[in-house]
Amino acid sequence: MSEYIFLEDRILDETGAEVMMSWETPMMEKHAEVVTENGGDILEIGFGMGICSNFIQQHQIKSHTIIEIHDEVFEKLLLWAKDKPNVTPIKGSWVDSIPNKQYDGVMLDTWKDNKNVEFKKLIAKHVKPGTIFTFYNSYEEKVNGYNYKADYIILDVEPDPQEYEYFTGKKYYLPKVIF
Amino acid sequence: MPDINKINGLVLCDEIHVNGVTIANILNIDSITKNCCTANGPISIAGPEDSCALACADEDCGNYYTDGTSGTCPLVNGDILYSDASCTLATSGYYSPTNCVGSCDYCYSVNGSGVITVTECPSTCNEILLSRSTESCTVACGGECTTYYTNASGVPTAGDYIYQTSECSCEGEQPAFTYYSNKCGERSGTCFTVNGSCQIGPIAGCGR
Repeated sequence: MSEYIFLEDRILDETGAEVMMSWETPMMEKHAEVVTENGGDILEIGFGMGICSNFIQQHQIKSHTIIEIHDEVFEKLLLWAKDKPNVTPIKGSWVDSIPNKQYDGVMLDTWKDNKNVEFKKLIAKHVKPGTIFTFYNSYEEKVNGYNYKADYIILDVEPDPQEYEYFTGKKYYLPKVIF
Repeated sequence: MPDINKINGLVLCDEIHVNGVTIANILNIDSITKNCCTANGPISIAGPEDSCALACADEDCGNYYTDGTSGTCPLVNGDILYSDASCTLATSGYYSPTNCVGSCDYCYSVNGSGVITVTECPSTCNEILLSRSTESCTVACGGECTTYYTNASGVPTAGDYIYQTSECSCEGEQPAFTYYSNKCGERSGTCFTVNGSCQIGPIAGCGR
């Protein structure tokens, strides 16, 4: 597994591409608000800088399961989770490590994943009527990469300059899918 | 517990007569009900599915029994598939041991009487969400994604194919170069340059 570079305001992958940046904090705060609307059991896939995870913890939820595939990021997740009794860290890919249960909210934010078809098939087994699914969305319009019918919360954002230019727009279309 | 299927070295279900009695007329021995299915299994098979393609891709394997020779790949036409050791006929549909123990790459079509017809698994044709552009990778990387098809089972690589039809056939006249991307709104993605034969050539990252 490639080694990441952890800076105060960003994580870079082995090519120098930004995996996640701190300017996204307002977006992650809103994702956390959306995914916890039902309370209950929350599944978060991709820990990253832990920004969204921190916000999720500020809401009234029963459990918070976090799946992280990257070795170093998972170590950081374990440290972060030490004093959080409702957090279950899981090391691995969502492909084969989602616990056998149905969640009230699912948040997905991964890196170099690109398995939308597989995810749609799998997640259907882990949701129930009313489950909220939200995910990182780089489209600057009311579109999502899963072709789910979604509501969009439009946020004004100010991206920091990026080498990789994964998001340069001024509007973030945060998707909210209700199963 | 005595095993009705093995008596005095005989595998009961493989015999026609035992001590002059026709096997078909033996219903139980010492109050143990005759159950021949356990002699030929269990075998690990996935299904039932609605097609061979789905069955051959299915990884959800379960234990089944057969009157055929378990452990052979494949079973043969006319063998019976049972869903349990009590000789309950398997539900009609398509089954495959491809992704199960033994990795037998065949499809079993099972009719309402549990009878198997064996065919080879079709070549892989998987759905994939991609955006397409005839202009450039930049356009493809930012484009809206819809369903295309590929022979790849995961993220495609150079040499794999991307098709527009669910039959995974490269029909009609194709542009010399078409650009497809799997970024689909994620943080990262890949752009595949596809030639006129639907085959992937150069691959580039999105966003640079």
